[in-house]
Amino acid sequence: MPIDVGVNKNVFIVDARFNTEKNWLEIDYDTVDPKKPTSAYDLLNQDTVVDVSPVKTMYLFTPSVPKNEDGKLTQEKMVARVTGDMKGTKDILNHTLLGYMTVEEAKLNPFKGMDLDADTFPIKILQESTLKKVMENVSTQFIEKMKPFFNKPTLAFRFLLIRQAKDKHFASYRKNYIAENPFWEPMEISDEASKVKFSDYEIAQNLTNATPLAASSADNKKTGQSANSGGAAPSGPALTASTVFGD
Amino acid sequence: MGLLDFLASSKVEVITKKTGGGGGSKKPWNPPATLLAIRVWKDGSVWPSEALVDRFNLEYRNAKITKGDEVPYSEDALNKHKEAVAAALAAGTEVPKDLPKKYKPSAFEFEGGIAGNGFDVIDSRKWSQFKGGGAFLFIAPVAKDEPKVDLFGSTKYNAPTEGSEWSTPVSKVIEQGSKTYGADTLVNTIKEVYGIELNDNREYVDMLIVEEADGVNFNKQFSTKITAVPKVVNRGKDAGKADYVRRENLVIFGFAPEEVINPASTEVATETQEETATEEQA
Repeated sequence: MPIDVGVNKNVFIVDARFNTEKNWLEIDYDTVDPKKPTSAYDLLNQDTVVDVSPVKTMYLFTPSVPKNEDGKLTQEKMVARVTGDMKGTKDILNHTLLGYMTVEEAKLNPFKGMDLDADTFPIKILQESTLKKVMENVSTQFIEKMKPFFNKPTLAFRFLLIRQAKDKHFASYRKNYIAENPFWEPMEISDEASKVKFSDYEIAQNLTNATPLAASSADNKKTGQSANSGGAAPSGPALTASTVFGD
Repeated sequence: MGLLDFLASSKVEVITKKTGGGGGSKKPWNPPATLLAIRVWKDGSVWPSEALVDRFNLEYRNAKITKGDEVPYSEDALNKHKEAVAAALAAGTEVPKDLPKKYKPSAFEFEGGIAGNGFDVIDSRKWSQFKGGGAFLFIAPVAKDEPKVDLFGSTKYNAPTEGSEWSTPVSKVIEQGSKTYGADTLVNTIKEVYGIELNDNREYVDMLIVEEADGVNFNKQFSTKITAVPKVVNRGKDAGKADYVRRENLVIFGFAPEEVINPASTEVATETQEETATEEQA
């Protein structure tokens, strides 16, 4: 079964990369499959038809500074919005790391090497260069910490993905209340005790399936992804929250 | 004879407070002082030894308690309650009581910044990380302010005395004799895992906490960086359902009756309980 919206079982992380040109993090997931050959050579050299699930790549994008052309957003609101988006990304990475290591070991330092403190934060966090650097920091630290655990099918997890939005069927990370409602849990935990499941909110909002919208209603919608989502493989100009949604 | 002459032969009796639990001052509620053990009684009450309290820092500490804010009910909940009241009044049936006030959990700040420890009890049959046949109980010290601590996790507190910001525990851990976990879970688990049934013939069992037994070093063999400790959902619609808590750097110990750890002591333990029962009857 391909990795998609829902509770995906026996998932492991194959690899991760930080795309410095587009400033996004790519994480490759795969499922444990005894039928799947371990090398690309063997995969092509099969004697017969063998169905194998493809590797699923999820993307985490750098949040953008909200545009405030009508001046209605105060600086506090803009800071809160962009901080919330960045926290969402950091929490997703931190939550993933906690599947392999302790809280102390999983710590991410978003401001490493930056001239930034509590006083200058409200000004600097509204600069694109700062956001890019924070994203690079948490992404590269995530990759460094995950290196010993990449491509280890023995470390298999339950992995919940939710629908991005009612009108967007792409698989996305859950980004709210992750501590109480985990999306990443070792398969060692029994199904009976598992905490990985859709929340009441997600069920009520129909975020539990990947059924595409009908063509007539989809034609009038923009396609693409928001910050902290997964989605289909991007193409064309760089995809960020602002280029997708224009705000 | 004067009205008050009877006073000459009267006296006031000094009443001494019983310690070590109720039910009779002759009962040895706690295990021997130097044994690292918890005495589990047939009623589910659990009593640590002095050595255990010292070794694992089990004592309750003074605390500053900040009561949580009141949590308002949702409009939906309030409307449903109003409807239920109206329906009961119309039908002439018992009217539902007012909705009780709800509060966020209280926050505790412990004196010296250390909460002290309680224990997680781990049943190998429910521990998904445990690979192996058979059944055994393990135990691990865990900070009292962690969620879902099975033994010696919490106590009631007195109101702070005037001039002090600290509240004192109502009882010492060695005198508490809490039954919550023991009665609901531990007594039955000991019976299922070790075949020991507590009743009038055998009123208690001393559960030893051991690092090593029979060539098995529990600390080394079973302690891992991350442990998913099996628990049960206590409240709400999922009450009774299997659950777990994530703990880090737990140090695991064996948790077993003396006769399992030291089979030669079985006769001694049985005789001691029979002697105690005989003394009480006398």
